[in-house]
Amino acid sequence: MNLISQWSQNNLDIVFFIYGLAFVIMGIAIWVQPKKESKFEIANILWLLSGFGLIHGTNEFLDMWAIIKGRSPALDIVRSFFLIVSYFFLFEFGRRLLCISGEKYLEKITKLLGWWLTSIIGFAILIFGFISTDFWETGTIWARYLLGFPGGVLIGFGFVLYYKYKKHKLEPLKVKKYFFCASLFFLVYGILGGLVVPKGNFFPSNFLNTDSFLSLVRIPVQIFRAFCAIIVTWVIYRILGIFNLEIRIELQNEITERKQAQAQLIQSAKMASVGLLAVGVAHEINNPIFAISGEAEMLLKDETKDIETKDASKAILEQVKRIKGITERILLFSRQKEFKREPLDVNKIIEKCIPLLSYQVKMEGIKIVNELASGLPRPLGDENQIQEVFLNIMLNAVQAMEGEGRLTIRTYSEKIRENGRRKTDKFKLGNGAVIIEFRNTGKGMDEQTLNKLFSPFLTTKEKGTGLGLFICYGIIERHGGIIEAQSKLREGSTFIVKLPIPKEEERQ
Amino acid sequence: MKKILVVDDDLAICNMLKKFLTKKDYEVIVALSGEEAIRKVKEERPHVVLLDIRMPGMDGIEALKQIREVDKEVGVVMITAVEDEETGKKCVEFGAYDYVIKPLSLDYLETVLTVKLIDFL
Repeated sequence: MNLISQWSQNNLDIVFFIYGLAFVIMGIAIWVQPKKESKFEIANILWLLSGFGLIHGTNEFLDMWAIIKGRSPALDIVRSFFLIVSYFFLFEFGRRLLCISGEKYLEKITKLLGWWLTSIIGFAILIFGFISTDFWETGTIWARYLLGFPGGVLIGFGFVLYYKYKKHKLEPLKVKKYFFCASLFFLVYGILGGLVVPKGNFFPSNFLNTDSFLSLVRIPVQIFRAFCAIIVTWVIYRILGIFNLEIRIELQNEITERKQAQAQLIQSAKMASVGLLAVGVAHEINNPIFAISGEAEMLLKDETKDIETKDASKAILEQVKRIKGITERILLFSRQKEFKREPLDVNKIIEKCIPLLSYQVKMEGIKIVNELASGLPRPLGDENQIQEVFLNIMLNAVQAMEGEGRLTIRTYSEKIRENGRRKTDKFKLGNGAVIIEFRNTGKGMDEQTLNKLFSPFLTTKEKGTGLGLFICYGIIERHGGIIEAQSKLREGSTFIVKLPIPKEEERQ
Repeated sequence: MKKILVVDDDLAICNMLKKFLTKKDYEVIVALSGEEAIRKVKEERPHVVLLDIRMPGMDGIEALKQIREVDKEVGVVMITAVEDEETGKKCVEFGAYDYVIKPLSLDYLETVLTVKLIDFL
C-alpha cells in the first residue's frame, strides 16, 4: 500500500500521460467510427463525447507538462481553459443523452432546459471566477461542481435508460454489460472528477478536495480517475461496435429481402409461362373441339340415323361440353376482358362471400371467425374477381376441414415503414398493402403440394379440376398483388392475399 | 342459291361447316387462308363470309379489311377461338356483323345466319 502510494505520488506525470492517452483514444475512436447511416439516435450526439475525450485528454497532457517542466501562469490558464471547455462537452452529452432516453418526463425537462441551461452554468462559473481572488482556480472548481459532477450523473443515468429504451434493438447485439459498465464508471468518474476538486477557500472544496482525499486514501485521486478513463474508453469502444453490427444486420436483412423478392419474381415468371402454355393449349383445343361438336350435332339431328348413333352423339356432345368448361376456366387465368379498377372495401366483399359459401358446402361444425380491421385503405380492383378469389380460398378451406374446424379471416393494412423493421415485399408493394388472411384448421398440406399450389391442374380433391387457385393467382397478379400460402400437415393452412394500397395519383 | 364462303386454316372445320351448310341448302365455298379468301370473294362473290381470325400468314382481321375493299356488301361473321374484347371491337370497326367464339353449337350458327344476316341471304 505504501509502495503504491509512494510510487504514484512520485510518478504523477506517467499517470497523467496514461489518463490523457485513454481519453484521446476514446475521442479518436468515436471520431473515426462510421455512424452516419445509423438509426440509433445516440450516433448523433457522440461527437460531444468525442470532443470531451480529445479536449480533456489534452488537458491531462498539459498537466503532465506542468509536472515535467514546472508550472507557469500562462500554462495554468491554458490548462484551466481546456478543463472547463471539456466539461461543457461532458455535461452537454449527458443532457442530450437524457433527451433521447425514452423517459417522457426526463426528455421533457432536459429539452425544456435546452442549451441555455448549459449557458447559464457557464455564466455562473464566470461570475464565481470573477468574484474570487483567483479567476481560473475558482473557475475550474465550479466547472467541476456544476458541469463535471452533474455531467457524470446524467451520463450514468443516460446510458442505462437508453439501453432500456432501445432494448429490443440492443439486446441481440449483446452490449448490455457495456452500457451498464459505462453508466457505472461515468458516475464514478463524475464523483472523482466533479466532487474531489483542488483545494479552495470555500465549502465544500475546503473540506473535500484532492489533498483531503490523499490523506484519507493515501493514493492520489488522479490514479482513480485514470483508471476510470481507461475503463470508460474500453467500454465506449465496445459500445461503438453496435454501429458495425447494425450495418451487418441491415445488410443481412437486405439480402433476405432481395432473395425473397427474387423468389417471388421467379414464381411469377413461372406462373406466367405456365399460364401462357395453358392458354395456348386451350385455344388450340377449341378448334378440333368445334369440328367434333359440329359433326356430332349433325349426327344427332340426322333423322336417318339409328338410336345407337344418336346416343353416341349425345355422349360425345356431353364430353365436349366438359372440355369446353375446362378451357373456359383456363382462359380465365389470362382473362383478356378489361377488369374494373374501383376502390374496394375488402371487409364488405368477405361479408358477402360468407352466405354464398353456405349455399355450396355444408357449414355445420365449421366456425367462421372474422377479425376485420376497420378503416382499411381501399385497393383498386374488380370486386367480382376479388370475390371469386376469396370465395375460392374459403371454399377450399371449408373442404379441407372436412366438416369440423375454424376458419379465421383477418384483415389489416401494412405500411412499408421507412425506419425500423422493413417488409419483404417492398419491391412490389411499395406503398403498403391491405392484407387478407384466411387461416383454417384443416388437414394442411405437405411441402410438395405447397410448392406447386398455384400451378394449373393440381388438385387433392376428388372432383376438382385444379384450376381454382391457378385462376386466383392470375387475378391477384393482375391486381398487382401477392397471393401466398403457408401450411403444416395436420395443423391447417393460411392463405394470404396482399393487395397494393394505391398511391395518391392512382386514386384519381 | 345463296353462297357462303367458309375461311379457316383447319380443314376439319371447313369440311364440317361445308357439310352442315350444304344440308341447309347453301352453296358453300372453302378457303384455307386469308389470301385465298380474298381471291374467292373477288371470283365467287359470296353473300356471307365465315372468317376465322387466327390463321398462319394473313390473319382474319387483315383479311376482313381487304375483303371490305373488294366487296362492301358482303356480310362477314368472325369465328374465333380467342375471346378478346379488343379484337372483337376491332372486327366490328372493320365491318364484321358478328363475332362468335369456337366451339359454338351449329344451332347457334344457324340462328346467327337466319336472324342477323337475313338481309344478306
